[in-house]
Amino acid sequence: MKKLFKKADFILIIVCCLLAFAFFLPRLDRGKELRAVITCGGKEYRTIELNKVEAAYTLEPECSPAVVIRVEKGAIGFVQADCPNKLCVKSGMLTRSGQTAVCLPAKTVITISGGQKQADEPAVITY
Amino acid sequence: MAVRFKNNRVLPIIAVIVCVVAVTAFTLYDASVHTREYNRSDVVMGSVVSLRLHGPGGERYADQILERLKYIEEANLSRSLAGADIYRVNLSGEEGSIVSGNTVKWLERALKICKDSDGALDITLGRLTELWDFDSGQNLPPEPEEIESRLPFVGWEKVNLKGNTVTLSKGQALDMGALGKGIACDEAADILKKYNVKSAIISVGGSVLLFGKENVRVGIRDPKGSVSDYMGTLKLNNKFISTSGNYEKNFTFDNVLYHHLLDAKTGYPARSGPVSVTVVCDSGLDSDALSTACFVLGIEKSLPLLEKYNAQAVFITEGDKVFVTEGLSDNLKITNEAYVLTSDIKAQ
Repeated sequence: MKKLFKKADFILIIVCCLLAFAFFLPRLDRGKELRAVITCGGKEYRTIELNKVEAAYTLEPECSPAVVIRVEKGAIGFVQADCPNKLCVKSGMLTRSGQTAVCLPAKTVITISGGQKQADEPAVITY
Repeated sequence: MAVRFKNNRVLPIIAVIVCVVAVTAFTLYDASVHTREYNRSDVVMGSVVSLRLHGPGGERYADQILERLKYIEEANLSRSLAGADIYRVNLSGEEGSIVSGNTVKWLERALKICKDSDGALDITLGRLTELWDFDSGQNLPPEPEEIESRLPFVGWEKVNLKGNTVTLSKGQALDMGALGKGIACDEAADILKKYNVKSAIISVGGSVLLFGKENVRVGIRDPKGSVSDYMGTLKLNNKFISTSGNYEKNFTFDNVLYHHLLDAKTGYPARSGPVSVTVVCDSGLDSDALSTACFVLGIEKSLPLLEKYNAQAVFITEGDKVFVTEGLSDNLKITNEAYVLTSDIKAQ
C-alpha cells in the first residue's frame, strides 16, 4: 500500500518547523531590549535602548523646572533638578524594568521596560 | 525513499513547506501579541501613575485610563481646581453644592469608613491639611493656637449629604487626599474590565491595582529605604493594595518628625505606633481609606475595622516590627532582616 507521506516528508516538515522557529523567535525578543522612555508633560520626549548606549551623555529636556538626565550603558537617571524636593534625583540611576523616576513639578517621567526579568524582584512596589 | 524531483512531488512539498512556515509564524506572532507588555508613566492627581498592560491594545487602554484619571481629578476630586465637585463644595460651605453621581457614591463610602473607624479617617481635615501644607516644602509646624482654632472645623459627622447635595458646616473643608488614589485604581479597573484586558499592573502614587489571574509579586516599601527599596513581598492577584506611611510627606523640626497623616482628634500627625500600614482588599477606595484609618488607629484598634471590610494588612512599627493579619501571614516574605515579625498587637 502506498503511504501518503513518506519518511522523508516528515523529516522535511520537521526541518521546516525548526527553521521557521529559528527565523521568527529572535524577532519576538525585540520586546526584551532594555528601554527607557522619557516623557515631558505626558508627551514622549525620547526613547533610549540603554544597552546600546556606548559613551555616557546628558539630556536637558525642555521642561520647567529644568532637569538634567544622565544616560549610560544600562542605566538612566536624574542628576540635577531645579525642583524643591529633588525626589527625582534621590531615585538614583534606574537599571531595571518597572523602575520609574519622576520630577513632579516638571512632569518629567523616566520609565524602564524590557531587559532580563529577575526571578525574585517584585513587579511593583506599594508605598 | 528519497524525495523525488518529479513534478508530481515538488508542488505538494512546496505547499507543505509554505503552510508549515506560515502556521508557525502566525502562532508565534499571536503568542507574542498576547504576552506583549506596554509600559507607560505620567503624573496625574499630583502622583506618579505607572501602567503596565499585557495583551493587545495596551497603549490605547493606557491612554483611556490616564484620561479618565485626569477627568476625575478635574471634575470630581480636586480641592484646588475650580469647577471640581470638591472645590465647589468647599467654596459653598453651608449653602451646599450639587455634585455628580460618582462624587456622591464616593462620599457615601468615605463617610461610612469615617464612621466605622470612629473618625480615624476623616474627610473633613481640609482646614488642617491646608495649615500643615506639606507640599510647599516649608519645614515648620504650625503654632498650637492655629491648630486649636481649626479643630472645630473638623468632623465628618457634620457633613450633610442629601441626594446629590453636599452641605458642610461652617468653616469646614473636604479633603479627599486619603482616598483619591484608591478611587483612581477603581476607575482604572473598570476600564480594564470593560475592554477585557488580559492583565495589568497599575500604580497610582503607590496605590496598586493588580488586574488579572496571574499572581504578581508586590514589594512593600521599606520605610527607612530609598524609593526603590522594599522590606518584604506579597504574592497576590486581582487585588487593590494601598499603603500609608510617614516617610512620604514629612519634615523634621527640632528633632521631631512631622508627617502628613493627621489625627483628626488632635490636629497633629498621628503617633499610634505604625510607620506604615499596607492594606489589601477588593476595593481601591477601601484599601486607600483603610490604610489611612489603620495608621491613625494603630494595630489593635485596626483589627475589627479590617475584618468588617474584609481586608488584610501589614503593619510596620517604629521599632521595626512587622504585624501581619492572618489572611496574609503565610504570604508575606520579609526580605530585609532588619524587620522582625511579631504577633503582639500592642507592638510599638
